[in-house]
Parts: sequence; structure tokens; C-alpha cells
Amino acid sequence: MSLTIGQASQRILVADDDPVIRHLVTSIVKKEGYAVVVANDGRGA
Amino acid sequence: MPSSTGIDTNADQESVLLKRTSAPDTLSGAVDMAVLTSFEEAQGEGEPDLVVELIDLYLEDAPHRVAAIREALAKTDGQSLERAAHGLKGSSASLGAGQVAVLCEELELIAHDFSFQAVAVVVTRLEREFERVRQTFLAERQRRLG
Repeated sequence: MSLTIGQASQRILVADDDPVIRHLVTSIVKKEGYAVVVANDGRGA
Repeated sequence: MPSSTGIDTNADQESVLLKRTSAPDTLSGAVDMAVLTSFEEAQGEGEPDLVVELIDLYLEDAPHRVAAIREALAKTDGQSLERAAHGLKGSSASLGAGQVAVLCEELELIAHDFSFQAVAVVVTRLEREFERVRQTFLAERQRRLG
């Protein structure tokens, strides 16, 4: 995953029922410069 | 004239050798540390140690799943067994606990044709392996927090 100029304001939804995977994916996506919305499952999303 | 030379040190050498070869190394291989180290790339500046956070989340969540697996065995509930094993497999594989993940996959596969004996053997192995992973994570957590 890489970030180009203009993408910084884009938000990514991370939805997973596993707290470990949710936190891991959220951290990676944030590190890439995206804003993140987190949900425990599809309904929460 | 009695001689004081010729002291036999073989016994000492042998005991040293025995100590060395019987040194416990029960935790080796429980977790692929390269997987944990790779997460350092995702470490945010000024954020708490990501690996420690992931370990804490795992150690909070996984014991419940292991308990659910043991409970599903007691109830011969294949569906619950499959669900709990599937959940534990994902987080374990993500954090480099490969053998736990493999045992979970085995449980998923045998959950359908539930044989108490067969499932019990794998659950016992899983619990033993999970304990090794838990100890490894606790040690790594301690090391990182200094």
C-alpha cells in the first residue's frame, strides 16, 4: 500500500471482529497517512 | 612415594556437558519473532509500542477462545468448536504463533465429524502450545517495556 499526494484526506473503514487484526490493520493504514474509521463488524460499519 | 598427580576431571566435565545439553528450551519456536518485528514498520511516532499493544490484545482475547474450544469439546458442539478455532487461528497466525494456528485449522477440519477422542487430543496439544506462546509473548512484552 502506498500513499500519493491527494489521498491524505481519504478515509478507510476497517471492519473486523478480531481486536488484534483490527488494531494491526488500523495501525498500518494510519501509518500510510489515511484517516481510519473502525468497526467491530459489518453492522457497526 | 605417593603421587598426587592424575586428578580425574572427567566426572566434572561430564556434569557440565549434561547441564548444557539438558538446558530447557521449551519456548523456542512458539512464535516467529520476525513477524512481530515486521510490525515495527507500522509503529506510529509518539504512539505506544504497537507490538506490546498487539500482544496485550491477543493475551486478553485468546484465552477466552481457548476456553471456548475446551467448552465446545465438553459439549461435543462442533459448530462452536469451529467458530472458536477459526477466530483463534486468525489472530494467532497474524502474530506469528504458527503452530497454534495450525492446530486451530486441524480443529476446524475435524469439527464436522466430531469424534471426542480425536478432538480431545488436538485440544490438549493446542492448550500446551498456547501456553508456550503466552509465555513467549509475556517475555517479549517485558523485554520491550524494559
